[in-house]
Amino acid sequence: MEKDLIKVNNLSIKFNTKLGYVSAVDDISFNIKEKEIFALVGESGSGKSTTAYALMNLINARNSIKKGEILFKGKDILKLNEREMTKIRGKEIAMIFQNPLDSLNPIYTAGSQVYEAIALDKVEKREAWNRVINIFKEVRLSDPEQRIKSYPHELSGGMRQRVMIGMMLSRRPELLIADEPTTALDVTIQSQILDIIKELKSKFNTSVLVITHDFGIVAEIADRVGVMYAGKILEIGDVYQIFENPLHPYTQLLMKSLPRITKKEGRLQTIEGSVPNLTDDIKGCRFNNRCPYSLDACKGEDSEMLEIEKGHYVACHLVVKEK
Amino acid sequence: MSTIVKVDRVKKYFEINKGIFRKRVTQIKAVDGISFSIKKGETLGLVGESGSGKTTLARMILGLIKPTENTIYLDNKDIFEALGKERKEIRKKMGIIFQDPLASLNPRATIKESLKRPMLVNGINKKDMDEIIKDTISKVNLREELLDRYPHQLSGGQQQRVSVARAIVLRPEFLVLDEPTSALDVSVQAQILNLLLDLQEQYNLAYLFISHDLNVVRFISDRIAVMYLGKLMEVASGEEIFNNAKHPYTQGLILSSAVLSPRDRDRKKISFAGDPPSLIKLPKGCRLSPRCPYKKEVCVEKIPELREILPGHFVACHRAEEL
Repeated sequence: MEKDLIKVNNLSIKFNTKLGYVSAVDDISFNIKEKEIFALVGESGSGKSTTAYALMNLINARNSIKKGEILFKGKDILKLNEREMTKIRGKEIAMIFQNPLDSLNPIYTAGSQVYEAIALDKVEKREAWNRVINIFKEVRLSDPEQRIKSYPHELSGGMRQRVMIGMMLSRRPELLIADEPTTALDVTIQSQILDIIKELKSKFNTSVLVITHDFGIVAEIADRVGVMYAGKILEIGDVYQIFENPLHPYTQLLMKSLPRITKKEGRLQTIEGSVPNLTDDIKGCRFNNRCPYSLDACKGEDSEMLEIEKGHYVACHLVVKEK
Repeated sequence: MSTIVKVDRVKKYFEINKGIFRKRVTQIKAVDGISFSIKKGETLGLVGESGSGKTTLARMILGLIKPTENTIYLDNKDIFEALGKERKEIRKKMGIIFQDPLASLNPRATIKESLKRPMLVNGINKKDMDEIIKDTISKVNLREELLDRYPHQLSGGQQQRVSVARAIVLRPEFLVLDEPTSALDVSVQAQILNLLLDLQEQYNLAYLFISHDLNVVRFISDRIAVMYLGKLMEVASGEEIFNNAKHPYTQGLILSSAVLSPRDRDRKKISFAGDPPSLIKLPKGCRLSPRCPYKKEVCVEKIPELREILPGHFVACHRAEEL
């Protein structure tokens, strides 16, 4: 049994806005084991990116309220001060974003930006540059000696994302957070990047948290999946449980709305209604206004996460009742 | 079924000029001799990676830019020769829906004003307008009270419904759908795709559906055309493309596109080396040859023609029979 690398317990994040508090993430718990790819999947506004930012402790304390704990190797990240956190960011937890062009500095070469990261660990200059070239090879950039001298605008989207991944890997982090890493890329390039991420696990023993709205990516690389909706995690399971035996009505409907058929075979499943307003102090299951099986209990109390089969957790009154 | 759109060997070259005298230094062959036709009531899916010329082709079909050579026919009329009234009549028969609904709606106009606009331009009787708008809005399943709102007050799905309503308000026969669902969440994507199919049945609409998401294209299309660097690589029915693709590029594209079931994640992939070449320095022979794992001498030397190898199945590959 692998150990937990990170364990999130009852995390809630509220943002103070003009319209009152928005409860972006509400009482979620999950864990990421060592050498595991965990995917948080959800539609826009479900709180998946907010969760990722919280893991890096990047949520501004002034206009937000954070509750719960994020235990990274036993330490609570939310209790660390900025100086202690700086030591963890990049070194132990690294993050890549959707648009690599926004994350790279346009006036420095790709190589020097990766060099800068390595130099933080007080590596001697020549050795550091050798490492840069090796990293470029590891992320399969062709012609690395030339590529280190290229500026970000001279690289294609796929190459930029590879530089980003390389930069993040250069310090051998234990956890890599990838926030929609391939959304801006073409399919053939996406598939190359996903292969690189899959390799990280076996080569460097890195755990990966993938944040995505794309079930294709989840099916492709995730070991375990958490399904988020309106700030809640509704279901957690391994990737086969989620795809083949979804238990929460939301997950079930989502799975049926994926275009896996052709139009001759009929229409796609849709989910009526829309996401509730998170500014309200909502009671009950956040999906109950759209749920075709909504019970009275769903409007009252929120359902606890229950383990239905081994490793498969779901928060739904209906499932509990049937059990 | 009769043909509605006929694209006849069109080419679009963009010139790159430099210096005081704007001397032509090179050309970009964005679309290089493409022919196909779309029948009434049919959906042709157009897939290809960024830079393959999909959007340039779509803009030519709509008559927004003129081909460098050859032309396009709508209902047997040359869309670039028609003038004045005749041109207006042709344009009435076609419409477009874009990827980002918010960007394609005027932020200062109410939904009603946006829907009225095409009718004003085409001189529709003012008395009939309200009736037509009411009718159209119910066809796309929007409530009438939304008519007085502004685009930013609507959800992404509602905005895209408004775009659909605007495109069909003149009752066209042909629509270009340029990545209409890539900005939407899965459950909303399913709603829009179902809506497009309903409208197609009702009005016998023909669609050119441009997308990079092969699962979506497979769901909605009757036939699929695969484009790479300005050329068609393969055209065939959806089933043929997915079950019996002959072109290495199509095969690679299908295998690298994300699967929707984790059981398929270990499928064998065809990987293309590197990134697509620049459109300025195109290879002499087949455009895929620098990346193709099956290339032979002839592929580097000679550009393969698009030829029919099975009834209705066209491929541009020298080695189509062997692969």
